[in-house]
Formats: sequence, C-alpha cells, structure tokens
Amino acid sequence: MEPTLPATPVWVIGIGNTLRRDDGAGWLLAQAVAATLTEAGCPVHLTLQHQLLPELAAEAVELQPAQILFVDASAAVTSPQCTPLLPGTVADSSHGLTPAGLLTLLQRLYALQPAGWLLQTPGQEFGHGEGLSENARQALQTAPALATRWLATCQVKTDRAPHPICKAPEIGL
Amino acid sequence: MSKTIVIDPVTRIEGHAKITLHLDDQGQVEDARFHVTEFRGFEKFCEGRSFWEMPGITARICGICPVSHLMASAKAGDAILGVAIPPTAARLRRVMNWAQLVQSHALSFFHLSAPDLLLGMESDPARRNLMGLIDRYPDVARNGIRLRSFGQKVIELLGGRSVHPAWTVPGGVRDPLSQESRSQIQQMLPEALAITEQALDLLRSTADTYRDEEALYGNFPSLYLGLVTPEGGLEHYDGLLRVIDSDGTVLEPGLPLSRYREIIGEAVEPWSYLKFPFYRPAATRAAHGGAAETQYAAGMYRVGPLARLNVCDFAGTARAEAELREFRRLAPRGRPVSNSFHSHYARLIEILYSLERIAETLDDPAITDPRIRAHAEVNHLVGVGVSEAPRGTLFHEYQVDSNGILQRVNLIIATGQNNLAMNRTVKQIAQHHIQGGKVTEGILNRIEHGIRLYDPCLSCSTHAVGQMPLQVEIFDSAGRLVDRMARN
Repeated sequence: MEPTLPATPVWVIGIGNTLRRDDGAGWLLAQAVAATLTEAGCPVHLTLQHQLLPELAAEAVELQPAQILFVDASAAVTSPQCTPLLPGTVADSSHGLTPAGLLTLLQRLYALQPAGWLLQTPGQEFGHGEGLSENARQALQTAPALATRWLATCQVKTDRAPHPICKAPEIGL
Repeated sequence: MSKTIVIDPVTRIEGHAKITLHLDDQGQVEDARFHVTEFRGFEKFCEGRSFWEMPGITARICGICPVSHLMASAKAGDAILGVAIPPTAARLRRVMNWAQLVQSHALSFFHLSAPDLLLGMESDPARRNLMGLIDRYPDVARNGIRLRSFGQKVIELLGGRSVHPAWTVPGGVRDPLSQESRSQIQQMLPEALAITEQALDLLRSTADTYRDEEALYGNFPSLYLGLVTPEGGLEHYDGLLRVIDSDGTVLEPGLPLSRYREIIGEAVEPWSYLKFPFYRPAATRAAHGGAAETQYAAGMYRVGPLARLNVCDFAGTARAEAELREFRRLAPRGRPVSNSFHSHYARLIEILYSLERIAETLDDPAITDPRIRAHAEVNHLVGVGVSEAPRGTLFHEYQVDSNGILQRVNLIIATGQNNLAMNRTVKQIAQHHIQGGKVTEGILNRIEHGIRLYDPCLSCSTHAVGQMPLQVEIFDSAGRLVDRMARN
C-alpha cells in the first residue's frame, strides 16, 4: 500500500560547514535526503545552516512544518542513524542552538510542536579543508534508502497522538 | 595573604575568555584581567593569497558579524583598485551594514543581556538565561527573534544568504537589489521599528532598578573613537575618524581613514591573545611624562555604540535624533556619556537609526540601478578599508604586490580596541563588590555583565575559532591559585 504523504512540509535542516571536511556531510546528506523525499512527492523545505540560529523559529511560523529533520555529521556514530527528538534545554549560546533547543523555542514561543528527528551521519575529519573522508562519503550513498525508510516510519508515527515521535525507534541501515 | 579569583569561562559572550582577579593581603581587589584564550592568526595565513579573495576569507572570521569584515575588506580592495564604486553599490553596502548592525545589536540586547536586565543580576543562575527569559518574558524573546530575523533577511535578500554572503567585492557588489526584494524589506520595516520602540520603553522601565550599576559599571574617563560623516554626523560605513576625550574635547576632528596608523598603536601582553590598541598621541604624552612602563594604557579609548554616539554631532534621522538628545542628558552638558552601562541604550538607538536609514535609502528608486560594480586592476599597493562593525571601528589594511598577492595583512578589530576598557570595567566592578575575597555567584555574573556591555566578539578580535564560555580564577599575592569558578 502506498503511504500517505504528509500535507504540510517536512523541513530538512542540514547543519555543517563544507570548509571543515566531514562537517559538510550534514549539508550534503540533507540535500540528498530532500531530493529523495521530493521525488517521492513529499513537500520539502530545505535549509542549510552553519549553526542553528534563533530566527529559525520565526521561519517555522511561516512554514508550519509537521516534521523537522535535522541532519548533522557526528563523530559519535559509525553509520547513519535517525533518532526521534524531543524539546530540550535552550543553551546560553548566541549562535549554537541545539536541535532540541530549537524545538523548545518553537513550542514555548509559538506553540508549534512539529515532530523532531535527528539524522546523524558519520564523520571523522573535521579540520580545515574541503572534501569528505572516504567513510563519510560512503555513508552518504545510503541517503536515498534512509530517506525512504524515514518517510515510511514517520508517516506511521504521525498517525499516533498526542506525541507520536516519543517512542519511535531509531532508524538505521 | 593575597589571592586571585578566576572566572572561567565567561558566558553569554562570543568566544573563549576568562577573568582573573588579584587580591591583596586584605582580600581587596588589587587588579583584574580579562584574558582571551583563543588564537587563530588570520593575518598570517592570508599572506600569499589574492586580495580579491579577502572578503570571502575574512568573513569566515566570524559567523555573527561576517558582514563587517565583508565591508572593510571590500573597501580595502576598492582602495587597491583605486576606484570610486558606483553610488548604488555604496548605498547597497550601507543597507547591508545597517542590517548587520540591527541583527547583532538585537542579539546582544534581547538574548544576551535581557536575562540580566529583566530577571535580575543576582537571580537564580539556573533561570537567568534565554530559557528563563522565554518563560517569564516570551514577548521579549519573540521580539528579539523577529528583529534578528529582519536583519538576517535583509542580508540574505541582498547577498543571497544570511551568513558569509559572498556579495561585496572590490569595486562594488555582485548583484543589484531587485524590485521584489526592495518591496519585501520595505514591508518588514514597520514591525522592526515598532519592536525597537517597545525595547526602548522596556529599557527605560528598568532604569530605576539599575541606578547603582549605571554609576559603577564601566564609568571612568577615557577617549572615544568612531567614524563620522564629513559634516560630523553618525556614520557606520565610511567618512572620517574622530577622537574625543573624556571632557568632550575633539582631539581628532576628522582624520582620513587611510591615516589610521598615525593615531593607533597596538600593544601586547603575555597573558592574553587579544591585542591592546591605544591612541598613540596620548600614550606618547604619558611616556614623556615619565610613565613609560604603562604608557600605552594612557591611550585607552572606547569604540562601539557608546563611542559612536559620543563622537558624532548629530544622528540625522528623526527618531534616532530625538533619542540621541535623551542619551546626551545622561552626561553633563557637552561631555560624553562615560558609563558603559548605557551601551544597552546606545545599541537600541543605533537599531532605530539603522532602520530609519534603511527606509530612507530604499525610498530612492535608484537603489535598484543595475550599475553596481567598477572594474579595474591593481593600481595601488596598499589599501585600507575601515567601517563600523556593531562592536566598533574595524580596520583592514592590505599590502599587495603588483599582481595583487598579499604581502602583509593588518586587522584591528573592535573588541580589541575595547580591551583596555573591558579590563578597567572588570576591575571597577570587582573592586566595588568583592570584599575580603568573598565571591558569590551573583558577583560573578555582575563581573560578566561588565564584559557583556561591550558585547565582545572574541572570534573576531583574535580571529579565532570556537565557543565562548568564561572562567574566573583567584590568585593570592604569591601567585598561587586559591579558587576557581567556571560555567559552561
């Protein structure tokens, strides 16, 4: 059976810096995932950020996304992983909100409660320079399959109320 | 036994820093130092690159105020080319610079300082932050976001993206302003102006609460430096350098920007990566007076919103002019406002001014003129670019060979120029609040607030990578560390 596609956009936010080697994988994976979702007929809004800034909350008010998929490179994972995300502490940083912190801003300031997901892709080299390490590059090739699986899982979960994402399993490959 | 207190890391600022407080045998603060503990070295590794690349490279110094570096760098490039850029290009650069000032000042006021001002300097530290602000004053937090969004959106509409837009280039700008983008900015302006007026009312409502802080936080005589128009008006993009002293006497009425080296020197200390710029003539006078050991400190000057409002003769826009008159009432007639606590007020006035100027500039139909770039090759081997960043005057000087390859780069950043004043402010606050070596969390925050008055951007001032927490350490008279307080 064909899954029902979300009517409101999925907001894909790629986090990273393409001038810091594997840190750029967040942007590249976000672009690839957004392309796959778009191809599947899912309304997508793609944003690429060096850091998560408070004004993204204002953008969310205009977008009214049902889902936000944060995509970031991480040294803590060995393969791409997608985990559900809940609102969390807003750190005292002017230009370094965490994904959970941004969800909190949306919830408390604008009463928006999009389902949050954190898609992490492995990174090893974060020094100055362009181009990904071999591992990071290979991980990116899994993007289409990962996006397809995420979409299927996400749609199942959005049918649940009131906080369908809380108990969602991790999505790995 | 004397000791030293260390605050490490300092929070709600841009970068890594720590503060050390040196106590005497009676436990009173003898000295205080603001240490910047990050280092990057942009000036050195830019050597060998083409000056054409510099706007893009130096913008990477900072994610908060990249536009400031774009402006100064492109202007240094203009000077190397020896061109007068098309008038529309200059106006568009000004619009972006004002937008940058709006978003940066909004961040400083609404999200970094408002937790102290609205929740209380000594309120529960677990709640005295952006999260606490969201809970108690959600409207203020929302307004901060909206105002920052305005600034970022204008930058994005002009430069294609809000962070590190590769838009200013030697000779002008890359793309003109479309009619559609112009309309979009014009539609956003009324809300931004309304938010700013509300913020001014909010700040006025806290005035009675902070009378003591007004009197004690960064209240000392110093020099002030900033750009002014040829007529003496408030200026952020070009113009002339003006320096006044603590009595309001004009020491430099209008020095051409390319001659900045005649009046600005840079000192270094072994305990900080942040340099100590100073006003040369004052330091020289001190040296001739026999104070050779600390002569450069006699040239202490302040830059930034407080200094800009002090050095100008007028603002030149209706609402900002009215606020400037109120601002001037904070000091005896004819004298500059010497208390850095009023930097909060100065920032809001500058936001108002910037919004008015953006509106006025966009009203001119010529703003969408497609002639936006002058083309030339290397015509001068030295180029100086100076503009006002949110935190103060920013200098870029490039020396190139005949192919435009950089031989030497000198960057003097606003935060560095406030270095002496920040140290003095920390010492002033610490001396007032610390008795017998006892430091509470509230006092720690008060000292940090003294630093936040200058909204320092340490990434810029040391051209460094990193985050910005701060620590405080206490040393005894023998130099032994006896206490440390830190927050992440």
